[in-house]
Amino acid sequence: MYTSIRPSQNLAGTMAPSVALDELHLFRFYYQMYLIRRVEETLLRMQAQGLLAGSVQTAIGQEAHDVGVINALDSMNDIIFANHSAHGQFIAYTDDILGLIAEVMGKEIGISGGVGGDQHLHKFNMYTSGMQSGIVFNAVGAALAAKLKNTGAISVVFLNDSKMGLGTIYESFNIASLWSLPILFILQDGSCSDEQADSSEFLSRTVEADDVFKVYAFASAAVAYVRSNQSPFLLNLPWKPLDGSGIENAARPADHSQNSNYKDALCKIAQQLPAQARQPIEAFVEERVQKAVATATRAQPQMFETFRRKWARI
Amino acid sequence: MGQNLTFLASLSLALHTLMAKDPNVVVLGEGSLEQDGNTSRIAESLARRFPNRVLTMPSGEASIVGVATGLALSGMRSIAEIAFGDFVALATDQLVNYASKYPVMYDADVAVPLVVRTPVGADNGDGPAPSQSLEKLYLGVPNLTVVAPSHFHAAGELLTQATQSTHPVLFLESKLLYPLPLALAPEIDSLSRSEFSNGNPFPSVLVRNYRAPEKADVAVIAYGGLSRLLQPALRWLGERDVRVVACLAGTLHPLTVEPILACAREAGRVLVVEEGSSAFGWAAEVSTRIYDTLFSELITPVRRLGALDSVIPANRTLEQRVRVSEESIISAVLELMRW
Repeated sequence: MYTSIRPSQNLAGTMAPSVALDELHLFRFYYQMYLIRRVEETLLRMQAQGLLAGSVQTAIGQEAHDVGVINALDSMNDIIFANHSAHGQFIAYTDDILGLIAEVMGKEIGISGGVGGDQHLHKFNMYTSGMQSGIVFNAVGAALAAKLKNTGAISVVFLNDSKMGLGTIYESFNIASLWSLPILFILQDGSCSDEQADSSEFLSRTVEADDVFKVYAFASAAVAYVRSNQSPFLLNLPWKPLDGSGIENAARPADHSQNSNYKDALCKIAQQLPAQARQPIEAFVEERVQKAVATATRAQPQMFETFRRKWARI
Repeated sequence: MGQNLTFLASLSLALHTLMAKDPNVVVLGEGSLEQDGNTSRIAESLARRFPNRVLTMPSGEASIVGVATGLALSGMRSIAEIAFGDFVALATDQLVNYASKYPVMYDADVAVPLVVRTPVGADNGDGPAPSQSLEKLYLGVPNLTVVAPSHFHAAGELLTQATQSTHPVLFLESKLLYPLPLALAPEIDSLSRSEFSNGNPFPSVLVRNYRAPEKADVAVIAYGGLSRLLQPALRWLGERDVRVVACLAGTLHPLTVEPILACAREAGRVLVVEEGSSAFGWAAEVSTRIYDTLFSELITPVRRLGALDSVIPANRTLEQRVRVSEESIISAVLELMRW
């Protein structure tokens, strides 16, 4: 009964060349990664200035995962579950930076009405929760629903290395394998440890996250595999947090872009773009982020009466 | 309708009707459908009829409720079956941290039509583990409705209503009620039955052992499997001219206070009974609600009765003493009369 996961060599060999990459991908990915980075840096700065409620869970350095995986999905149909630090996935999926920034500020126009805050985001088919690991079961349920309704959708769940000791994860692997569910597990392993969730029965693949195109290529192949075979797949994405994470964030300097002593996928993709292509993208992002912050700042805080009216309706 | 159905048959019929009518209804149960020992044996007949939508899962309560939550988020109406109420403890994280929060925390934009069915209650010598009534652990969780039908309730109708909710419902079924016929007629022997619904999908039921214009001497507020003890207790007390109105709550949480207050006001003497142990329990909450409104109108202090603060012993004599019994209800009522 117990499921284990085995590394996929054949998929690894064939999947990378099958994805055609063009200039549009390059621009798109750079735009999204730069946008995620700038929004997270802005949130850290705002937090340091006392403009936000609660903690901000950033994942600076993880942009290549978020952009590579999200772009490999069918954004109309696939269902995404993510954990406490999901700004990157959320932005890559929705592009709604105003909804995100306003949410973290507790504003009425925030994507979760100022109720969910930094860690509880929902738009279209994406759900995030500050409680990790248990959400993996919910993702399995969504995969089961897709299979029962024959929608062709797959379920994707982002796992974090800090919770890999919990039985819920392995129970989810078991059920997904037992019922052949269309679910893609993404393990974002920020511990940089050599331990990986691998063994036999269903397929896994480890991809270094220093290159968004590599992540995108492997994610696309994994998504195609999950969708066509109606089988689970585990994509193991080790990465190096460039900012620590969570509460430590606030104490650290927010501006990482000048530091070149790390393997940063954002720097890597930036080097592939000529300056005249990069600059308009960066300027556009800076303007969008500034505007979003200004709009969110002006917006009404969520009112208790509104919250109560909505809450009582349920 | 349903007059001759047992409590269990009423639930079974409701599930069959629901699944036939709505292709989005899915039942997830623990992996014992092929075995004879399945708790309620409802799923067996359902599984034969709807093999693709009645799914046996590996025995892991958190995964059953978690997967059912994911189904509910994806537009299905899911019913999760947990073999015994004791095991719901294993799914508490899912109920408290996920299923009950989704409908609120995303700006009230998401529905989680999830029902968790489970058998509860003690009177069969099963001992400490599968005999508990742990409802108080789940009361007061925001957005988690707790329903515990009595055999005076149209149990199947309550289950149907539970599946129509936009947020999770914990549906507690007294295993001791399963074989009993439902008592839904307006007159049941010497007792009369009426419903207080007021638009609530989970109505409270009032059972009286006297006729208007007489008034009750004592109001007994209770729920679920306690109805099995109340029926003979009310008859016995009625024969001795002690007029009792029993108010059987449809939901334990959120509480529908109107029928409780109406009964308490009529009698002036109130006994609140719960199946689980008393300390920090449902009866404490109900008593407070009564005091909040009726403090000056009560003849006696509100009396609480529940199981002793103990594990449930397997020895039948000890078990009888620890849990609430027909005798302990009667003596509590008589005590209130002597006040």
